[in-house]
Amino acid sequence: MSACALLVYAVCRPPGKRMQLAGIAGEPLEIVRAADLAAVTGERRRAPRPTVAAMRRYDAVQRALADQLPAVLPARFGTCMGSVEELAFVLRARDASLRAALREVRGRVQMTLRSADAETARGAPATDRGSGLAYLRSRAAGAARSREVPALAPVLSAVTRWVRAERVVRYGQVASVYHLIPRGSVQAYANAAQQAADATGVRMVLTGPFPAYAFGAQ
Amino acid sequence: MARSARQETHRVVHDNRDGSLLDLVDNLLNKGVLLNGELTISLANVDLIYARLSVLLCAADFLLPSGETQVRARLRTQKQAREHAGRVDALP
Repeated sequence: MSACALLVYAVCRPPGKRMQLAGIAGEPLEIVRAADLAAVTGERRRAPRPTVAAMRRYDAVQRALADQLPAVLPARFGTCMGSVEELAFVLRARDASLRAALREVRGRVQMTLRSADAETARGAPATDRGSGLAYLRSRAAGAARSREVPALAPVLSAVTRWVRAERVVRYGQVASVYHLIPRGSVQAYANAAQQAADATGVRMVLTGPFPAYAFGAQ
Repeated sequence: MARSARQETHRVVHDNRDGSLLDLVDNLLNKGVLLNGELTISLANVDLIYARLSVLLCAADFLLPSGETQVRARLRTQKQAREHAGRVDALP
């Protein structure tokens, strides 16, 4: 593994008080400020290895940060910067997009719904033959189809009032729907989802709340 | 009785603070995992070439525009990549 000076955990607004948190190797977490942004960092000599234990500790740090701060953007696991100056430069360069992403996740958490969705997975692929208009229409239809999860439709309609942002991802026949919801609505969202699933016989797995891993700037 | 059993199942799935391995990997890959490495090629104790390598592992859907991966793959299989390359690259 390569040398590393600062391991970046997350981007946030400058916190008002000093944080008493430790990183994945027990190092004290520090705040690096640049413009109106801040990054939560830990000093390390080496980049972390992507072991399950390290990733669990990383996730625990993200959860602790999300508990303490109103808006947190988790950084990619293993993001290293050579110096404070380098990190500050990156923060300033991406100031606008990071602040917009922080506004999106502020006071919100991520919930994840998963279901086997064979119906959509077997849907006809979009065609790219013919005129440009036909191609664009097929692309639009394909994009709309990719956002639909018929297997979860009753549950999605039951929780829609709390959903502030949604992403749908499919891996094979498994559809994952990521919802960004207000932090205080987790229990109501979970109850509504569970009741809708029970009433309509939908088989799903609901997990969360998580920090907003599936949202915000990449 | 049935209701309490259902609530118990719900509590376990919903409030598990450690989370499953699936959720852990899924969440981290949604954001991305960076693997960093360094390579120095030396000859007779003289360092000649230094390479710093960074590999990003990430769910493709979160980096590439929706459907682009599938379109690229399909075009390659149909041997039309060259003919349609400009159109695919122009996708948002």
